This record gives sequence, C-alpha cells and structure tokens, in this order.
Amino acid sequence: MRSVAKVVGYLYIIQISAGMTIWLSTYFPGIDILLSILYFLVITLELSNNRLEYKKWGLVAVFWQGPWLIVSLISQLRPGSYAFFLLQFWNTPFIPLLSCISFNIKGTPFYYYMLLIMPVILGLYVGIVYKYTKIKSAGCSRTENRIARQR
Amino acid sequence: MFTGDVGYGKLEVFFTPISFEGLEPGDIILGGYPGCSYGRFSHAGIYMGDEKVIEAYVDLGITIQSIFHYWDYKEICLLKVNAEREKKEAAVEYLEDMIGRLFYPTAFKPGDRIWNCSKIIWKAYYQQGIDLDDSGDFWVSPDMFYNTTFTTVIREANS
Repeated sequence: MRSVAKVVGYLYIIQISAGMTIWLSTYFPGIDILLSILYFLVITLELSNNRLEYKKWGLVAVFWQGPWLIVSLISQLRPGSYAFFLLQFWNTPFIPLLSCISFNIKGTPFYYYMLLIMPVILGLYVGIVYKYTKIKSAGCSRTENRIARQR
Repeated sequence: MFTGDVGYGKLEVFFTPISFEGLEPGDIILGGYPGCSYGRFSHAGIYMGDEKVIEAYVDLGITIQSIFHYWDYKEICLLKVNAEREKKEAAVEYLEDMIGRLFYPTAFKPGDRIWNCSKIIWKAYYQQGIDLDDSGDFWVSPDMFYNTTFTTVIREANS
C-alpha cells in the first residue's frame, strides 16, 4: 500500500514535468492539446492505481490541491499580485485545453474563472476517481468471491 | 529564465503624464516598470482610437482598456507604425475579433490560441505582411517594437 506522501509526491512530479513539456509543446499547436489530454489520463491512472483508505484519499486531495486553493484565494485578496501568475503557471498542463474555449462572463474570460476554481475541481476529481475505483474493486472482489465459492 | 519583475507584479503606481496626441489607430504604446526581467518595457498595447487600447493581461485575456492607465507606468513610449493606414486599421480589426482569448506570459509565436501582450500586436501586423520582430526569436517582447525599423518614436516619458 502506498503512502499519502508517495502518491502526492508522484502527482507533483507528474504535474511539474507535464507543465514543462506542455509549455514547450505549445510551440507546435495541436500537439499541446494531445499532451494535455495525455496528462489528464496519467493523473487519473496514478490516482486509480493506489489502494488508499477513504481518509487518505481526502489527504491526497488536500495536499495536492490545498496549497493552490490558498494561492487562488490570495489572487483575489491581492489583485495585481503574482498569485494569479503562479496559479496559471501551476496549471500549465490545462492551458491548451482552456485555450480552446474563449468567451467572456461579465467582461472576464472563462479561463480566468476556471483557473481560480481548478484546485477545487481537481480536489473533487480525486473523490470521483476514488468512488469509481471503489466500485470497480468491489466488483472485482465479488467476482473473486464467486470463483472461490465455485471451487 | 526571469531575473527581475514580471508583468503586472508591481503594485506601485508611477504617475507619468504623457500626451497621447498624434496616435493613430494601429500605433503602439509601451509601458515599463523598473527592473523588468525581459527588457526596458514590460507591457505593450495597440491604439484602436477613441482613447482605447487593445492589450492582453493575465486576468483579462485580450481586452479593450482606456489608454490613460499607461500613466501608471514609470516609462511610457508612443510608437508610430510605419505602414499604410489600411494595414494599421486591418491590424486593429484583426484584434477586435480576439477579445477574451487566453493570456499566457511565455506564449510562443506559432498558434492562435495562446497569447501575450506583445504577441497580439506582432501577429496582427504579421497578418498584414509586416513582421515587427527583426530578431527572429521564438517569442515577442515589448522591446522588439521599440527596436524594429517599422516603428518611429512619437513621444517618450519617464517619471
């Protein structure tokens, strides 16, 4: 069983490596979108391949996205500061996908709101993957039990 | 990569009044804060007439703003783009269709989804057959507009 620190560590390594790669790939429009989708698949796999308990999944969400939720809040408390820049750089892996949608809500672009709530979205995504993984593993164990009974 | 201040990160307001007289739609306005990491000027906008500027910011994307906020910068420079009036107006029209597009500070030249304040101006003129970047770099910075042979300084101010 992996520890929370190990899972969060892997998620940070994936996010930083993906951020660099996807930023460079924006030089080749189109490839950046493919890599952005690939990044999303990789974090989904990383999350679903661990066997953490319910509470530990919550800790993964908190340690992975909690600091960025604070940065997001700072960007609102100190407009014009570096906080929103930092938030945008951190979410570089999602930039190609966000750049595909361009419309304004009350004079502010859609991507701005998305970047602000991204820590919440990704935190909730951890919960969604947990729920899906739990259902899947419950299904597996039912099958395993049936096979064991048949023996 | 960056060793000084980047973009908007300054909360200081320098009052540098400069007259905007003589600007035509399509001309360029540069603003600079001291210690900027990527050159003398940290921001660029394109004049669209009626005291309005098309520019790009991290939190607003490509946007239309009042020209007077340039007085907040420590250094201001007004540049005349040496091109036919039709091309300059076409450059402004090109950008009017881009409002709300995504800003990313280190946007590369290729592509039309990811922008920064300098790339929008460079691309608007590139579409008209004018390359404002003499250096042929991977990306565009405000200083390139100051250094290109396609522009002439109308007026400069430093507080």
